[in-house]
Amino acid sequence: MTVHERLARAARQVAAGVTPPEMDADVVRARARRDRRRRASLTTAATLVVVIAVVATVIGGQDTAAPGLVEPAPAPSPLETVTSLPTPGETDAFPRSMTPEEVVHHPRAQLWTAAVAPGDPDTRISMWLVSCVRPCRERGPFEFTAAATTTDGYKTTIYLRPPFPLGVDLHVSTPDDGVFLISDQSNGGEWLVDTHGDVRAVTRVDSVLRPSDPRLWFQCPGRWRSTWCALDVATATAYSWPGEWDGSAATPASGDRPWGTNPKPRPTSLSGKLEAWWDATDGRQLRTLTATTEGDYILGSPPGEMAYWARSAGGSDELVIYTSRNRGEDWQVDSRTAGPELSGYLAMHRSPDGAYLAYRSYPRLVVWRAEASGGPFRKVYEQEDERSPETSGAGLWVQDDLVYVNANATAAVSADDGLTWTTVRTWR
Amino acid sequence: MQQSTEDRFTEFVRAHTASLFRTAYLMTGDYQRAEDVLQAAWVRVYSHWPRVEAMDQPLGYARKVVVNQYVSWWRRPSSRESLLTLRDEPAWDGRLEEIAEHGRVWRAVLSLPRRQRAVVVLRYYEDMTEAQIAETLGISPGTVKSHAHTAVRRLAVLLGEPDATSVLPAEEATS
Repeated sequence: MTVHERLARAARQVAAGVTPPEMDADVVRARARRDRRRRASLTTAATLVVVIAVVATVIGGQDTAAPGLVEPAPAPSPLETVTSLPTPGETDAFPRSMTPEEVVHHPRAQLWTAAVAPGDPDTRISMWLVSCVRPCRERGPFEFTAAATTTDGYKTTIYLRPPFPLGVDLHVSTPDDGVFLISDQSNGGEWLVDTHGDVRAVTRVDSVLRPSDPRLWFQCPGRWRSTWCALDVATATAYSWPGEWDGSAATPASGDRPWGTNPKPRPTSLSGKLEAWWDATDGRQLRTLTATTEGDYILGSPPGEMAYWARSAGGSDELVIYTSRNRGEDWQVDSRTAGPELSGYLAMHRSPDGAYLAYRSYPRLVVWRAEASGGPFRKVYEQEDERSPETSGAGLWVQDDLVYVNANATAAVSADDGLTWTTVRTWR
Repeated sequence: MQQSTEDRFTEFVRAHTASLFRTAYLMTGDYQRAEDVLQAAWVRVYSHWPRVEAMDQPLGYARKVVVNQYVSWWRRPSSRESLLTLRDEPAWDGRLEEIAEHGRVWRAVLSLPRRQRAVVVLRYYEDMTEAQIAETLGISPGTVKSHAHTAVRRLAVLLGEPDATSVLPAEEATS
């Protein structure tokens, strides 16, 4: 389905899914009459102000040092709208709303995004959405969102209303104890949510900051693809590193120079080849590794090592790993059995012990693992419920000895280098 | 018995509230704001009703007022953008994944700037030609074309279209 067909279909479905209100022509007439009266009285008031000002000027003569003789006319009150009335007892400023707590515990609440803090798996955040397929009783026909955060596995919970849209490619990571970083990879916004429920929008600046804590580095949307940002939690500022880091698999914290896959503007899927690029003293170097439409860099590679994966063209059951440890002078090529099911939009990351962890999020979150020393890729984790909402903000993070992965409102943690996984099930 | 002018206005409101509300809703993404936009538009139509009902296309005029009310609503300093209140309902036939899909698509549309969003609604929901959209928005057909092209490129990226890069200029492509 093309983007045009998707738009036309979505427009029809969204439009058909809304029940228009009853619009009373008499109410329209009454408002029109009231608007006319207001305009007339505003005209009168304005005329009066002009008259008073003229009189005051005459009385004041040339004494311009005596301001304030004229009291300004009161500002007209804003136009009232005669639409839906608030639900009785509703204290929220926006009528017909749900409190965040009500959203989270609503019978039809859908878990949209979930994340755990690797350093403390009892510290979690979950984001919920209630989409009323019929008008919500006494609440009006809306869609509501809320977030729930905890430090004790939801024995106690802080509820909040997120100031960002859900479901548009949100990455959630933990840059500091008790703080979640929400990064909207599509629209480019970032927010910090702490476990007290305070939310701060992150300001992005094009400048260089080199924090020592690896948790403060994160991939943020760049001009070409993801670039590297360093976070200052105290000031809620993200320092976006210069353009040469755009598309780099190496983080500036590694001490490496930037290296990555397929320089702008040649994505692998269109160029039909996997290209490695790396910055050297004599400029950016480029090498074509293989002909393929599926391949990318491997994140988390140790400093000094550039690593890439590719599936050979023609639907081979093998994944090939290309590695260079001397800035492109020599390359090792390592073929691994992967099986036909290891396919789709893959990404790859190194585990704490250097194993290869391949994962995909669609149609369900699956993780495969291959030892660094050799051997095939084996499935080590699979999301149980395929009907979870699809959120493209999938990610795999490594912190100390823990690996955690999240996508599609599922989060799982591994404490043994990705061999076994525990799905976190409590989210409210 | 011949209808009075007032009766014909009442009938016009009754006949076209649903379709115009849906247009307003698609642009605002918010039920109550769509209600506000439509009611303000009806007030304006009523103020000029004798002239409006004499037009060849009174519905076209009303739709134009709705779109312009939406644009002016955004200009009010007190208005704040909300991308969160899109809702789903009846055409839902029980398939959860479909709700997620069209909700996701329309959330992306709601992230567009207001004129691009209006162009998308008029093109993909109202099925208007570029010339009709230009007339409705009071802009040139070339500007409509430019807004439509930019919007579709942006949406292709937001929605992760496999062929997104084919509608993108090289400097904005992503892999």
